[in-house]
Amino acid sequence: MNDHFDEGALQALLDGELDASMADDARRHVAGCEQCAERFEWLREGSDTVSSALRILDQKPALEPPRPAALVPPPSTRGRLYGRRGTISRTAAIALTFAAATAVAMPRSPVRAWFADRLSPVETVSVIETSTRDAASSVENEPRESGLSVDLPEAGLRIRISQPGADLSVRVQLTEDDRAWIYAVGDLATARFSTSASGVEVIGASGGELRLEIPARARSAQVEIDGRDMVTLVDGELRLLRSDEAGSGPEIVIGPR
Amino acid sequence: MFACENEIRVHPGRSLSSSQPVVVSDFDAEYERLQPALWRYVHRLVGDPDVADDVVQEAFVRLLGRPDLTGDAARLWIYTVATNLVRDRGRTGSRRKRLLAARPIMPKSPPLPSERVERTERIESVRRALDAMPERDRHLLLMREEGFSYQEIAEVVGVAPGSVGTLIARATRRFIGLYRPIEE
Repeated sequence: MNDHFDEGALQALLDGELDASMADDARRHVAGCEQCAERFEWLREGSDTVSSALRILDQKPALEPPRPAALVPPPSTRGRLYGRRGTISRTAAIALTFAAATAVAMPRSPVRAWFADRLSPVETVSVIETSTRDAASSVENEPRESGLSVDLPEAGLRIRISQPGADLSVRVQLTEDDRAWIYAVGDLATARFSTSASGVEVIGASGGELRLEIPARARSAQVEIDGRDMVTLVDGELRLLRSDEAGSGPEIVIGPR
Repeated sequence: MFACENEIRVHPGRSLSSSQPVVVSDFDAEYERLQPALWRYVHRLVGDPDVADDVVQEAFVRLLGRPDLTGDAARLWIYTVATNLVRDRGRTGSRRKRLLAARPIMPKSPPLPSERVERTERIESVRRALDAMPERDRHLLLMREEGFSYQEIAEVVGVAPGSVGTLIARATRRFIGLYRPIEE
């Protein structure tokens, strides 16, 4: 095969920037051309490396930047004014502590209720299995009583949907990390991907396999498959919902990336 | 079931279960929608959270003067403004770097737990690679990472849309050549 695709075209294929017919041509070519397949794979790995490296920059700063010595007032300037401020602060702190203690001690006081809310032990349920029938409410509502609670794996979460039907509809919504990864494997030519700032939608997949990946950084996420909530992630708590209609739809496997 | 972009938004920290949701202004909604990713983009570009705060704030102040912009247009516009602000600061920063090189300030750091040291080294290794790249390559990789289309990237970076794929591939190659990941 002589009509190799150049690096720019392969990169555009990787980034989903080729129009449908050209993407089909490129995919077919890459499937049959060892040289282009190798270059495409290198670009894919390179992109993954760049993405992973950039995510490192988002980690919380490990170091408090040391304060330049010039910004710290020398001892000679910390005279009476600082001492007096300290006395005022201490007096204010004692007065506030006393007021808070009085407010907490008073029955039915809102301050007491506030403390009670925050100090009462939180029950965490590690695993509860249930049907998705109870899961009609949206993420913003109170936490559901049903579901399967697990920790979000370090590397993120992968959801694999095998042999999806022609009418499969998948929607993914993420917040605080507005990127989800969706891989289509096999014959998914009929699938349409609709992306927006608030999520990704896969419509009309048939055959093959779809993989959705939720990044570990996402604090909130929701995955809806065929109109049913399958995964919700609220404040770092991941909840997987299982269908009790096994066999009637595509096989859905959920696990770490 | 899924909130669309322009649906009612609530102030962070307020529960929807309590009476009616609080509708905020369009600008607040735009701010909530755009700020986290824009801050991340600028922070990745400059590596300094204070500078990222300043740039993002300045960009949003300028967005206030463009009420005609909404949705994707507002997103692309504010990223363009932020990118230009970073460029401007870069010019000032390079002068400052030369001065610091001549008279470096070497504050003493307290001893660090090994985990923190490793994390810092990992961040620094990425930072070093990015800083060693041409400015255009940094913008290409970071904007691609933010999910912008080639057309949008071309507009901000000032190149032909047809060349974006090639330029991103080259930038990736350059980054891989410079980046020395630190094993966890």
